[in-house]
Amino acid sequence: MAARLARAELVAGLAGIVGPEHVSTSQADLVAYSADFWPKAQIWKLAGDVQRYPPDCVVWPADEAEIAAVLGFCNEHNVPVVPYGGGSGVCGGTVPISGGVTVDVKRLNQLLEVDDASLIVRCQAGINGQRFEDKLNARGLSLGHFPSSIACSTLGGWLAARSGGQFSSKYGKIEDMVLSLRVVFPNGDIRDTGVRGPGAPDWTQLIVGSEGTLGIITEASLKVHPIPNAQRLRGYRFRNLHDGFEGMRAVMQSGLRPIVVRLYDPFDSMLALGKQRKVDRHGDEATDSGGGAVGALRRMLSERTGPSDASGDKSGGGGLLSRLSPLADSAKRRALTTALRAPNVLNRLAHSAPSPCLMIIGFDGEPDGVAADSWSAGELLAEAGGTDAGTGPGEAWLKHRYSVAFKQAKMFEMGAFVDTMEVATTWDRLESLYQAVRKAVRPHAFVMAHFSHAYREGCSIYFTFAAYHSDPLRAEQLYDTIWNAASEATLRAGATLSHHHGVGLSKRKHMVGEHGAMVHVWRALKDSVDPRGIMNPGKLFTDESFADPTHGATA
Amino acid sequence: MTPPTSSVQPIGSLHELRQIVPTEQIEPQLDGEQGAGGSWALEPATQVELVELLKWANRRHAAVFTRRPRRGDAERFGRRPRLYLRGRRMKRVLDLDIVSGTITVQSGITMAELHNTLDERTYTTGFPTRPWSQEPLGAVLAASLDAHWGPAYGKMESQVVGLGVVLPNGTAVESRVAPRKAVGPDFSRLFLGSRGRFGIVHQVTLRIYPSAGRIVSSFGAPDLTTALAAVKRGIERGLHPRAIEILSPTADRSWGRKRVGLSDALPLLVVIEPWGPLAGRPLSWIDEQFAGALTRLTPPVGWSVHDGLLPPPRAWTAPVVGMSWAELEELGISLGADVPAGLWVVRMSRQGGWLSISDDVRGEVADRVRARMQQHHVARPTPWDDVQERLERQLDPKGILNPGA
Ligand SMILES: Cc1cc2nc3c(=O)[nH]c(=O)nc-3n(C[C@H](O)[C@H](O)[C@H](O)COP(=O)(O)OP(=O)(O)OC[C@H]3O[C@@H](n4cnc5c(N)ncnc54)[C@H](O)[C@@H]3O)c2cc1C
Repeated sequence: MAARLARAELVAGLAGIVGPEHVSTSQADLVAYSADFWPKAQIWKLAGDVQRYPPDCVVWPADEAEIAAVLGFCNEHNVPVVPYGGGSGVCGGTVPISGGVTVDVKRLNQLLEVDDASLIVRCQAGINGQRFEDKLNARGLSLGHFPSSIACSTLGGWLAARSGGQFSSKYGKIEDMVLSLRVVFPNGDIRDTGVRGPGAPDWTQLIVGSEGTLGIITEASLKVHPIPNAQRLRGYRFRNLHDGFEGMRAVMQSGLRPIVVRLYDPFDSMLALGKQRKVDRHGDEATDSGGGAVGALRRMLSERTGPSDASGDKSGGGGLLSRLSPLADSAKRRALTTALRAPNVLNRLAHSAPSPCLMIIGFDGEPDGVAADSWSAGELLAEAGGTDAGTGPGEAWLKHRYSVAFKQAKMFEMGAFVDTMEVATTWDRLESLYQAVRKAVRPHAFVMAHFSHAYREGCSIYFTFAAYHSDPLRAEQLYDTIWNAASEATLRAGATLSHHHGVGLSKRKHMVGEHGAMVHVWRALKDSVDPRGIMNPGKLFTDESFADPTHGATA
Repeated sequence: MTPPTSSVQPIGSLHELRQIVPTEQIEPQLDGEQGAGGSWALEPATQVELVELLKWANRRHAAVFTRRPRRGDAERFGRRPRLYLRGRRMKRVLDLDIVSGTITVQSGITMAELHNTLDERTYTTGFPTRPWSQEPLGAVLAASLDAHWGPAYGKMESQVVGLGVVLPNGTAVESRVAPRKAVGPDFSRLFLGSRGRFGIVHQVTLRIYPSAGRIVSSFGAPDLTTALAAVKRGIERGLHPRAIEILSPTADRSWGRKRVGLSDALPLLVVIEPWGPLAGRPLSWIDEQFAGALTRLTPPVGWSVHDGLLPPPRAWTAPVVGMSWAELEELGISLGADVPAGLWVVRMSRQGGWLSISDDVRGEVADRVRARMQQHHVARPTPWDDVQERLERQLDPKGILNPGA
């Protein structure tokens, strides 16, 4: 095995491929590319560790040929490569834990081909999500993929992490939209998954979700849709979560195809209904009053920031901070930390709050079809005990669905942290999964949830947790404790650990539990295309995963 | 390095195999020359038996097949013991989850048995009912034979939400059942379509659907372009049916052709199967949408359109190729008013469909169709062959499972 190159040689070699202006070792770039939106990396930063894992350098290749040359060069010299899209990942997928070269693919940003007759497009992987959608819209088309991070993520990142958008119930996740890919493997070979001979597996689905550990995705062919002529959203209230689940399930299994169905747990419903009231008041930002600790809690969390779910809801405590903005910094900190120091009490208060469970459901398409489907869904929801809450909740959600903050600093500055976990399972296990994760997290963090991304056979649960520890080191430990507790509860409940955020570094430890002995297949795949292990090392699985793959076999 | 051949005589092997599978489930195959490693057909019933068989095969460097014995196997595999696995004892329904709409079955169940089981409970799968009805589910998935119920259900592979597989080295792997995941690639896809090269599928969890009575709307079209235009417009207006197909009867089905109401002026049949009472548009809507562009036909109720118009699936040996909508439209333009007999466009979605033409249809028009299909032929070697071979070496270093597949 060749020894790793000295940085100067590495940079010179790469500059020879992409041009010196497209290689950087500047401090600003190294800091920027040392982390993504993984909350744990924010905790490191707050503890003074601003660039725990910087890359050796960053490159911006212009095209597929340059990517192939960069990978070939790195492979030859045994240099780790971290593919980078928008850097909006929330799991540490782009953190260069072994150093090496971060390959930013954003210069591959062209929409290459639009087949209007077949509603198929071919696009380069580095294109920004919103730009891609805008280009399609200009031709009367839409991808139907609307992650909350659409403004700061790329097509390649979506494919690499199996991203899910707000309208996944109808249009599916990115893996349902993609028809084929072009991928560059570490030896510089370029392959098109569209060529599937007889007796071959579906390579597309074996590359999608590989989080940069197999190769770099350079292009994709995807299904698109004409922009729908009509869209209608409506709210429904349910007495409890159980009735809401039944309503959701009835709609999804009837064969109706809503774009979105979201159900909030009681506390999350309170936030959503609070937001609606604000919209009703024409955007008046005045604080919602409400008595006691629950009212305060609601005010604290009603404008949320932090990593978001595909549905645009923000999780965490930015709202808390804006509510507290007139207060002095120290007072803000005290209020926040006091509340979060007693998560059990906070959870009990929040969940004893009398609130109905809010559901939002929407359809798009031709006006007559949308009207007919909305009516049919309304009937099914009424049968399940839902009462019509009008168009307000849906409109409020639609209005705020991109109100995501791409900075987490304020919440973190206060010494607290917030994160989200989007698990998924079949309908029969959904309620017990919800209870199990809440129970596991409750002693350590404030936790709330909503249910989005409903499908015929199941649904995802989006948990938000917020916690605090005065000592940054202990905060990191607390963060790990919460994730371990939640992950183990999820796996015990028979659910999957991620619906759309991916694995990265944050969940890799639990991947043996998730996949059981299937890690053998992963190892074989990895060794077949990346025998030197240069692609995004340490992501998806830890090296220990392979020591005893039967350990933690599936529940 | 050449792998070691078996040093155990057939009788010794048989004794060892009897420790794994009951004696009555082992049938010697009398196809080998004297002194060869032995050849048996076996019927394991459980994952545990499969695991043990594969471990035994690794120890003895046997060849394990998930297909029937073929002439020449004895010669080809020389002194290696050969095991031919049958799925007849692996037909159990392990779980029918009506709440989530999934069924978990052993892979030896035939498509007909699976559909009968579901029919009793008014459910169905997203798989075709007619073709491959006598094939075991595992074989259908391993070959990735595809469904004609395309638009609503997608590919057959996407009906699979969980898989239990035994790898060539005898490791049992199982995927977690969830509606969607983001926990790495979908590893179970390695075993779908790859003809048993990487593992033996022994358990499958599938999506199931309520089996609303199968009502089919039938229309006659004068040519392919008109038929495609009507279907395209229907989808754009919100049609989301269980299936859409376009077909013309083969010459030997003139009786069926008349019965369904086709004629020289209306040689093509457009079949639309709505999903159910709620989803997509109802029959009346379909009628309204299509009646303007096409001619409503009324085949006799309960009469099987396919059986009456096309050769049975087992006799259908012609290739079937996926074509984009643009390519189908180009084909329509190139055919103009000509419609060859035995044309079949199945699994249609707004992106395209699968095209085939019956082998026994001759003539210039049919050749025009075949020429277009030929453009889609995937030539060997494919760019993925080397990756596939490396993977095979990783998972099956001794070449135990379906060697030479
Ligand atoms: C505010 C906010 C809201 C969010 N909302 C959503 C949401 O609604 N839905 C959702 O699914 N996610 C959401 N996310 C998470 C994130 O946006 C997704 O994971 C997204 O898919 C990442 O895309 P990216 O281009 O930023 O990828 P990056 O973060 O750059 O990379 C993610 C992973 O993919 C790999 N990768 C990137 N590009 C390529 C390539 N071309 N080839 C191979 N590997 C590559 C990287 O190595 C890394 O492992 C959100 C994040 C934030 C910060």
